[in-house]
Amino acid sequence: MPNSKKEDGRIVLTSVLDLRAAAPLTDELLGLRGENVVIDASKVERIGAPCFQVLLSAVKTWAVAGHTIAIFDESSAFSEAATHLGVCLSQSDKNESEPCH
Amino acid sequence: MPLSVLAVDDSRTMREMLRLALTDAGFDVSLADDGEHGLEVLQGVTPNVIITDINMPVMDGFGFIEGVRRSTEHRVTPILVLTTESATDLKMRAKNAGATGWIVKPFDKDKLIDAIKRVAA
Amino acid sequence: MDSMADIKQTFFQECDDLLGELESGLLDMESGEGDSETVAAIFRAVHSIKGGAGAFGLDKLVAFAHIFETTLDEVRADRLEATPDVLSVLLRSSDVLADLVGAAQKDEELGEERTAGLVGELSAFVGASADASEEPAAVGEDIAFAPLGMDFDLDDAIGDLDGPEDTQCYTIKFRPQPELYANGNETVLLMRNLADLGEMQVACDESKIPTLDELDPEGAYLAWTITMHTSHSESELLEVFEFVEGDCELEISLDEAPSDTTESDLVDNEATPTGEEVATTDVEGASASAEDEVANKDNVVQLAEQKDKQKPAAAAKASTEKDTSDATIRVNLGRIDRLVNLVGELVINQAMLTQGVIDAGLERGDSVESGLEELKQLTREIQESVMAIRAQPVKALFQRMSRIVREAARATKKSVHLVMEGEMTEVDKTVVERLADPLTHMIRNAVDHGLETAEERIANGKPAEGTVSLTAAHRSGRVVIEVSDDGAGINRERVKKIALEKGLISPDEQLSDSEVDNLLFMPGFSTVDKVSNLSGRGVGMDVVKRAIQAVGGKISISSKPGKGSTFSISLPLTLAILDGMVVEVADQTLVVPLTAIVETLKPTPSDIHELGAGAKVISIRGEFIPVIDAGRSMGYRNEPVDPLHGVVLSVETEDGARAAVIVDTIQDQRQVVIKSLEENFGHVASVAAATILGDGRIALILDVDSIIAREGSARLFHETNLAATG
Repeated sequence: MPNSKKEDGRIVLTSVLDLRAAAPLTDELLGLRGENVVIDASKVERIGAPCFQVLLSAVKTWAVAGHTIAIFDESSAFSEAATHLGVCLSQSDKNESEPCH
Repeated sequence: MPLSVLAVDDSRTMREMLRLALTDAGFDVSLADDGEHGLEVLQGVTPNVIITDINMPVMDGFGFIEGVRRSTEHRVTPILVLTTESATDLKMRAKNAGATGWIVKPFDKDKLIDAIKRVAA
Repeated sequence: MDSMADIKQTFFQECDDLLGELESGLLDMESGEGDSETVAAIFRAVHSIKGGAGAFGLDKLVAFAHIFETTLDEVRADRLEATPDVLSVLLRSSDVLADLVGAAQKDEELGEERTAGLVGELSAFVGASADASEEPAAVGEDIAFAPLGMDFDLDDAIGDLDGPEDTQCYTIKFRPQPELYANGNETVLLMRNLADLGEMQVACDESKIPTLDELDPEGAYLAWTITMHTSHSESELLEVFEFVEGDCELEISLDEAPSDTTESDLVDNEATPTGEEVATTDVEGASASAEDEVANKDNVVQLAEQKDKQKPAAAAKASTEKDTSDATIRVNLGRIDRLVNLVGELVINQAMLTQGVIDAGLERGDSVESGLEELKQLTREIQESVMAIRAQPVKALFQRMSRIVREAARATKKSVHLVMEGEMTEVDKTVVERLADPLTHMIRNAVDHGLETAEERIANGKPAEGTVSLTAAHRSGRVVIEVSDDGAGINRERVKKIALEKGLISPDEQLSDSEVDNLLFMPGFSTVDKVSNLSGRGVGMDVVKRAIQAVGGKISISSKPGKGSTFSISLPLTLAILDGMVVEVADQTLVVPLTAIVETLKPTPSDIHELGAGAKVISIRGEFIPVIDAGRSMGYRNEPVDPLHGVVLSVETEDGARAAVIVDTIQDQRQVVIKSLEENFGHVASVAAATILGDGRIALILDVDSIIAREGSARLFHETNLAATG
């Protein structure tokens, strides 16, 4: 099952990011290692904690490697879930005093 | 899009009650008579939530839950066990088989809907 | 559209199908064709009826289906064997279940008496095989099926324990395990549900997240600390996590103690507390505080523990509200037996203390003496109360007999009416249980042999329908159960003829009517010419008699030609205490069961007759009874004692064999606590058991039957036997 579409260091998150989506998403991100990546979250209708774990792991991995990774155009479902989980996904926000939630 | 629910119960009465309660709540409802039938039905539908009885002929609820969890398509679908037994060990067995939660019969319609909404993503 | 009414129709249709399956399954089991799937199907049928009935608030149906189902579950789990007796109860239960369904369909109520007896019998099966570990489950079930119909909800009960209060601040620490996600639960949803309960701040602990190459996509790395301002109770917060119990670490602590809280050791927690004391709100009251202490020490309170402790508390509350007057608990029988034993010890101890006080020679009116009197009274009350725990009404047993009568009537093509009386008479549980078989046999006998055929009855001017009556009553410290029929009475000529044919009596024996009647109890006796398939299974009344004797009972028979026969069973109220006569033999103290003693007398020289070889008989009102010297019989002395210097106890065994037991003196007549020798020592010939007397000495309880048997069968007028005596 194709999880997302790759466009030159760009990932478009699929609409349903449940537990089953976590492994394909991990694989897809691993395939983009060494590149700056932008992630389009506009189509997300549903996302759970496991996929947030993948995204958080990616942010951490990219930061260690010195590359950028950014999520943009978050759908309301994505933002709502992130807020519920108190998850902060922006690399740059990590160093600021005000967390993103 | 309305939530879709598959309800598996060997009792005709219970199936009819579930159908009534769930359609009234605006859900799309599929029904199955036992675990084996439930797995067959799942080849054609992708419900948001599955509700199943435990004690059924042919294939009981535990076998059905395990079957669902083994399938690639439905392995993360929330499964609520619908059972008269409120006994803790039964819930634990259901959980070990992969159940998400439970509803104790005789069910209250609102509680039923509430439980579905609690687990439906 | 009146859909619920439509579904109710569906339910009754389905019930018809299920009841059919239930009955045919039970009949298959009865004929030995059933297998485990049959049992499972039977269980399911009752289970489904219960489920539907619950949904429609058919409480009586639910209640009966529930106990029926519980019993079937015992059978299904191989904890209860599907003996013919069990199946008979199950079959009758299925009849009653069908009646309950029928009544519900017509919006009628079935009389309590239709179900009460069966409920008792079903419960007895469950009680006999259930162990203590099942208790919590049983409590849960009871709650789930409290007659509250569809509105009932356990969670409401929990929630209501906390009234609306001011906003409180909780810290919730939540760490999911991978199973939580694998089972289809989702933290996002939990958070969403939690957010509905109040204002919250969520702090996500991302520290455990590994880099992508080390990440298990379906692992659980995130943990959360939630600060929650809510007016909802802790139990309501816990309810959000109900489904993830066991799949996560969960800790809920109250940050600020409300003013009315008595606990003083609450600490204010920061959003990320470390090692703080966990203060769980005390929803159950003081009883839970001990567990709280333990939980607090562990610091991390597993959700499972919290739930475990809350549900029974809520259950207890609910059941208290439901009915306080009729509340019952189920207790493992072993515990009661231990209590009975301990009370036995107490009785002995109290008797010893009394003896000690007497020996100390205290003055009359001494405070010790009056205190002792009170102790004696208390001991007696405790003893009675403990015995009452084990007591059960014979009702369930009696009702089981009604089907036996029906079956026997059907098999013999006789019309029989059963009359029951005194069903509420209480007897020790063990006695009740052990009565089932003999009583069944007696009832069958009454129908099969006692009652005449309808034609014969009409010819004799009796109603075509025969009457069998079953009565129970307390009579002077014992329970008397009688089985009577209004049949032809015992055909004594035929009984004698059969006894003669079987060599049980000699041709020249002169037997009284009562002695002829008692021949029925002789081993191997059977009055039926043609073996009917009912009672002629080679099991005679002698087996019945032995079963009755085994519980310390006596059976007797009386019969009037043309009017009918009555079998009368006299039973002790308990198997732990015995009415005994304390006697002295060769300086040894013995106890003779009072039930065996017909009379006591001082013989005169003219009563005693020598038979030669040391054997003696005594003449009591014209009957010659063999004399047994208890001292020699027990091996206390070798020289025969002169009967004229002792006291003669005229004793009778359960089979009517009589003997005159000579003892030196009679000391007392009292209740003694039975101490089994077989458990502690081993079987001793002539000794039934032992007891401990007030002065601490052990006294043996004489086994009259075995003494007479050892001295030779003492059937009256049996010269051959008399010659063997001594």
